[in-house]
Amino acid sequence: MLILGIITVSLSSCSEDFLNTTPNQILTEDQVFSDPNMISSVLANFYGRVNWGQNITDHGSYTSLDEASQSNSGANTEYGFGDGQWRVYDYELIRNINQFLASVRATTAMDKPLQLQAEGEARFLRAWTYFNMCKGLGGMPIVGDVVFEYKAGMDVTTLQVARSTEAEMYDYIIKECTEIAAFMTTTKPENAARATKWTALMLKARAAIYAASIAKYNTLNTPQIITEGGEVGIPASRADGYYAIALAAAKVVIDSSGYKLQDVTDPTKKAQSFYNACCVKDNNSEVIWAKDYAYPGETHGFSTNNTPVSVAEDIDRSRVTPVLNLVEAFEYINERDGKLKLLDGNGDYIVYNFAEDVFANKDPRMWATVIYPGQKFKGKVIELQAGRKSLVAGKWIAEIKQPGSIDPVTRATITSENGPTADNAEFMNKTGFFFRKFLDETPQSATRGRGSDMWFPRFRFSEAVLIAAEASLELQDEPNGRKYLNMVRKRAGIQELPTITFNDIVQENRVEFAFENHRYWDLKRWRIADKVWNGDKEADNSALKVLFPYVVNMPGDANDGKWIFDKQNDRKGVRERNFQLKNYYNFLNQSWIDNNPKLVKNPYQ
Amino acid sequence: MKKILYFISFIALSLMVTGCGTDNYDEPTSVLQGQILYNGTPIGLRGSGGAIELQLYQDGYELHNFISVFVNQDGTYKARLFDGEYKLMFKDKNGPWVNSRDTIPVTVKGNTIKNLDVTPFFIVSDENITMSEDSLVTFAGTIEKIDPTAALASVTLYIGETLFTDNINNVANVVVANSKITTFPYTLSETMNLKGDKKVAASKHLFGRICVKTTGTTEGVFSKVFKIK
Repeated sequence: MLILGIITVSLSSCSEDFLNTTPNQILTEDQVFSDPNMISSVLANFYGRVNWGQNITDHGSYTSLDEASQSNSGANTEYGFGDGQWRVYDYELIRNINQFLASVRATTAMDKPLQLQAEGEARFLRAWTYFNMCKGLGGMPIVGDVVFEYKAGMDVTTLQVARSTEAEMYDYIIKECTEIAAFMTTTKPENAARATKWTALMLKARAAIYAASIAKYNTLNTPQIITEGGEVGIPASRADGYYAIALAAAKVVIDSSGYKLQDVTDPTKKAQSFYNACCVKDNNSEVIWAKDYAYPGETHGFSTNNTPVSVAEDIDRSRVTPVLNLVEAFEYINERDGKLKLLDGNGDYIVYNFAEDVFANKDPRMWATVIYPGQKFKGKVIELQAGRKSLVAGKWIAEIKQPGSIDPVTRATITSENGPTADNAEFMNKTGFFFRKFLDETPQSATRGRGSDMWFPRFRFSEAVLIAAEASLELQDEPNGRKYLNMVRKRAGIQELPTITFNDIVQENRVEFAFENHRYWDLKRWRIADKVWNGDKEADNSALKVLFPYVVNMPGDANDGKWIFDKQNDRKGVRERNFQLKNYYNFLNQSWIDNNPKLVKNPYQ
Repeated sequence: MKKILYFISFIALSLMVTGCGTDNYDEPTSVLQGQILYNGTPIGLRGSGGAIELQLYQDGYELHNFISVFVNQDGTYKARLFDGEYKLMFKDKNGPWVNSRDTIPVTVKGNTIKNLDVTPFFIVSDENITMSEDSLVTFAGTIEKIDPTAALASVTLYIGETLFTDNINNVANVVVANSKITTFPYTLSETMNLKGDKKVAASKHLFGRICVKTTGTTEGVFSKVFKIK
């Protein structure tokens, strides 16, 4: 072996051009920026590097909040939120984008409009990076278009930029978006995968509404969360200005983008229509920007990992499943309180003929968000039955067997193959629900080999509408706020409201954007996260709950074969949600401060 | 099996070989310790989960990270260090006292004691917690407001199964209605009925503790822990 190696080395070293070979995997800047396709592929690289926070490639990220819980083997004992929760600090990407900008502005390989579009997309992605950094860390250094370069012997302090204020950071994002929106394309890109004028305006609206709500609610609810230099915290006096910017940007998108809420008039088709609006790429009029996936090439394992047990296509299944808290957050069509009606006034079970009857008249968006007992997925009914119960001498006795067990005599299901179960079994439902939003119905999409090409929307048209609703309401224009909010509620298929309050905005955002990486940031910017996730061990707002459906097994009784439900604490997401004041901003790493002593620490750090 | 034994003995042998003479520092032997006090009285804290933290810096070394020193529930802290000059700081807005980020210089030489004075928002004094036979727990004490600007968030009574009873580790708790507490010093006198509580009935030992929280802070100030069962 050794001899063979020596021979090979000596053979290859004989060729004359060995030291003069042109590398075929490293391209020079001139080579890249003389070819439009190469320029696009650099942009594509940037698009692939901006996937932060809760998203479908990281199903575990859904277990951190009050939307879903771990269903996979042992319990999730994570308590509270980390100091680096969903933190973004990516100056490497910002530097790469600045390098790209310098080169693309100088290139002659592209027509002017294409060149401007490439610049716009790069600046959009840079603004998006700053935005993601800012919502976790507050104001951080803004480096503009400068590409920092270290040369031996130079004074390093010129490379060290101090943190901007939080307001300056949002101002910068808003200014960038305003400038690029003026020249970016208005044409819808394929599968909403690339940035356009409308994407820029959506980011502008979102950044402005974040800044506005921090200005208003930090002063109201958490006045102590500020730093002396304003790196964290925005003065209350700026709130109205930001709300006005958010409203104006959202209005442009609503009135002239050509995007619209996907809707049907037939109330029985509303649920499917909402699923299509979030999850189906073809003929989509609502998703403005998404992280797109494609098969073959770039797929993800969200369907593989989280598919219902009974329709699994590979060994993976049911790793993360939604909790009852989210299900109960959805209102009824004509009733604001979405709590399921499980017990009557005396504390006795309310008996339902079919499992799905307990969900009758709920917001159709719930159907599109979670698979609840008795609903179909991939053409098959997804059974969820924890066991059977019978009333013996005034006490309900539960009969629970291995998943998939049937009664040897009547052939009726005892515990369905999907669960839910209250043990540590792997690949088994533990909460009573499965994901539907972002779960792919394509055959083979739940296998390890193929994966799913379901996209992950980052901006949907309905967000523009809800930003307009929130900004109008905050600017003392309740009638217009109500008009916008009711647009979303009407499309969903639930009752319109005669008047609206701040809490209605909170509620609507929660259910409309479930699993879309909104809730954590929303509760943070409204400064109510520490009150909602207050660490209470029992209350629905902080303790995860699950729904266990049982069939009544009392032959001869009028209720035999009917359904009753237990609401109970989640055994997997065992620790209550506990958001502390220090979690409003991420901590800075000591290593960043070592490299740049001008950085100051965040509060509570 | 024999092969595995050979393998293990080989590893053990190699560890012995490499373990010789590579340590070029002795372990630290000096101890810095102290207690967080108000007017000479220790302050009760949450002692679990690294809740209250002191930050210890030392200049002149490459590593700029502070050493975390966690405070126990009776307000004591202890760190084993090398002799030298250190700088001690409270973590920002961490404890139930008026925030102060002044650097406290400490010279560690042998066994060093450094008590830290703070101005708490509230304190609990003269506390007493007892349980009578019929599982009725009586909480008594005086809640004093020390910082005039502090706003009361909540007074909570906790029952736990271990000596480490606090807002995270407890089996039962009751929040005292804020509307009752109008003037300070407030004389606390509450009862809590644990009859029928399965967790409480099953536990061998029970402890009681009182916590007072100020708005806008994460950590509350605690009373002493009382063993009641």
